[in-house]
Amino acid sequence: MAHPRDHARWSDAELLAGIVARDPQAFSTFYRRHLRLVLATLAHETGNREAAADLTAEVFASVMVAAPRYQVRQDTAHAWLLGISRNVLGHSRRRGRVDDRARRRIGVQALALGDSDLERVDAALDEGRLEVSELVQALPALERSALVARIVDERPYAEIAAQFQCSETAVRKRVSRGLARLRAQLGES
Amino acid sequence: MNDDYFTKLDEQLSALTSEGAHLDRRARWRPLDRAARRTVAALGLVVLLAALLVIEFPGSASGNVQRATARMALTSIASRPAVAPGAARGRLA
Repeated sequence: MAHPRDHARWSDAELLAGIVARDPQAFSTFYRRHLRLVLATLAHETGNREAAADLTAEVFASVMVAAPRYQVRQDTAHAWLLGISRNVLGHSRRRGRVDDRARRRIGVQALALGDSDLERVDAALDEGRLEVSELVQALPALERSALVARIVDERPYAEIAAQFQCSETAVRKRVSRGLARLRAQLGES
Repeated sequence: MNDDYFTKLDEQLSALTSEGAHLDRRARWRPLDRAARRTVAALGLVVLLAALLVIEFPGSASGNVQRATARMALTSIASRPAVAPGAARGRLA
């Protein structure tokens, strides 16, 4: 493990191990490293800034609870963290209100949201959009066109294939490759 | 100190991390729980087997059959009429 004072250089796996070992600095570093990603994802998914902030608190409380079960599969814990976010969001949607099981379990007290907090959610969302937009622009032209046509414009594969004069399978492959490349790049950033 | 929502959340969760509030408090009792569960299961099995034996052989478990047989034998011996040695001899003759 890295030097205890040098938390910023710790990997996600090391920080999560630190959380299990009751190291508050490890949690704080993990939180600050991933707050924007979680907040932007939840704000994008819900379209509701208050709910996104509330869900973010639940996600990080869930991270604390789930940290002992974390298994290193990638360089970062992005996929794991987004999985937790999806679970929290899915459970909240099923129940019709923001999930708070993890917070109740560890005894987190309710916090009030202010206008500046909501602005921060907006900023996270904008930064997230900007980042994705830059990454999409950096994709190979064919993958970018297919991805935009399918994901952004929501056009059917057959129509896109006709436009690009190729098979539907080729379009599906381009979209799939483009998404995989985006995921990989988002994971690294 | 910044008092916005996300900073306060960071502080609160960090404090709870150092308290170990997120760790499963029941984990340390799990081996004991397991032993207790196994003991109860073993005792239950013994009681069940004993109950099956009693149901299958109702007298033998308490020794009633042997006692009842012995009592009946004694009663039949006591109530049998005394036979005169001569009568027996006469009948044979």
